[in-house]
Amino acid sequence: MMLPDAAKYHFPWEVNLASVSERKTLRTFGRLYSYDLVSSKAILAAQHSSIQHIWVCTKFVEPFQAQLGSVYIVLGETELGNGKEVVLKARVFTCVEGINLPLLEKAILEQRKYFQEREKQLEGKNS
Amino acid sequence: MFTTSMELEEEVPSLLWGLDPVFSAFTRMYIKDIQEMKESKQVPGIFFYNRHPIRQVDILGTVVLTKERDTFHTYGVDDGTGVISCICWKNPVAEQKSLSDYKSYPSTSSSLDLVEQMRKLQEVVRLKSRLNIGDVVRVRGCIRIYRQNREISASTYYKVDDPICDAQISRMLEIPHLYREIYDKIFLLPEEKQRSVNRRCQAFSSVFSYASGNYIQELETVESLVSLIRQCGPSTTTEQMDFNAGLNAKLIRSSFTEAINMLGEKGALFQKSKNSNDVYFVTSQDKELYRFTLEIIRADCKRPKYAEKGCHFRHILSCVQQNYSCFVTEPVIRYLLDLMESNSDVVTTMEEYYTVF
Repeated sequence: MMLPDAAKYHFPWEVNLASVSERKTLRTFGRLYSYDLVSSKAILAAQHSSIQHIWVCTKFVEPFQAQLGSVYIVLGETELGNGKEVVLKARVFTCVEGINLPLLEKAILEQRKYFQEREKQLEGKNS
Repeated sequence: MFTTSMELEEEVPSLLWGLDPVFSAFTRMYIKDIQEMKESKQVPGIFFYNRHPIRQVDILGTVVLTKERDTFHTYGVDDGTGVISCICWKNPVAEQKSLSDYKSYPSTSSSLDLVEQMRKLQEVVRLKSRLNIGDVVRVRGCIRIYRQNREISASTYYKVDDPICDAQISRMLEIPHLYREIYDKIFLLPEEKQRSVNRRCQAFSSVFSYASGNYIQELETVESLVSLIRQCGPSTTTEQMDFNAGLNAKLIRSSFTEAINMLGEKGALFQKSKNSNDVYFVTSQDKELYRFTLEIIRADCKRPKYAEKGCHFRHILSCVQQNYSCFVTEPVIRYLLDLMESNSDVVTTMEEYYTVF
């Protein structure tokens, strides 16, 4: 059984051409801004800047109940469509409206902090 | 994971695993660590994280892959750090018994209620144990290796209703604490104790070498010995000693007794009576026992019965016990024979047989 790669949490503002590579598995979140059933494309908007958009391809998760304005968590692989923008090919697309976003952000940061600490300790031990 | 430092050190012996509370717990670890930690060389199916023996784990994550077989489902679970497949056995009761089985019972008003309850329970079990991609699942079970891949053989699993991610967030916040407080703290207890006892024994042997033929009370009057024992003891006792003289004496006595027992088990010490308050003799220093035992071997090896192969260890032991002191134990004679062999006074002809030239 081929398991997919682990989907690390990314903040929505980290999902852009500069910081992610092609076919990278990740998960992120955002408000559903628009959804086009015909082209299977959804747009998630980051909480505090409406300029920040994430393109999501929803072909694998259809049909689903699109609730515009609700928070969604998306898990999938990145595709760099013609080098213009990042498109997330969603494998999981879950509505989590009512989520405590600041707490989620804190939890992600806590987890990252822990791994960073551990790496630093490991480096200290090896050197 | 401190793999590199771990590899240099030896695995904790399986006899001591039970002393680590982590061993009997369902550890809430990152799937990344479950995938990476080292398997025990002693017992397959047990893994080591930071010298903690891990037997069973508890994970919470998103289902990213499902596969159904006749008797079980395989779910790929992703917690954001790693992915692992989980073998989740189908519930035979819920699968086989159809709801109509319950209807055949004669229905009174009270049993009707029961049937209704059973049906509800079955419905819940069915809903909680059938998972689709995107669901949040909690799995508890053992790790096993199947075709070089690690998987969790679930003992319990259920779908978690997590519409606003509460369960996942609280787990993400909890796990770093668990790591810092428990899993990343190296499990040292029995080892450390062993080391301090060993140190104590060494301290003892060295002082015993010029203080043979002592009573336990006499030892407590030797200042250098007491301070050695004090150093070896756990750090908390040092503080306790300062304000409680009675406890102090008791602790010293127990340390001495422990060290003496250790030395006795090794055969480095022996007594000529059963009373623990009596005189102790140091095996390696006692010329009398040494000479006596050597005489036995020398005399018996001249007898035709032993001439070819030499005397068996049991024979030497029983001779010493009959003719010297019945309180001389087996380890003492082993210790003594090893000493004689290294002095070239005796020679081993085969295992357990000793002779002289």
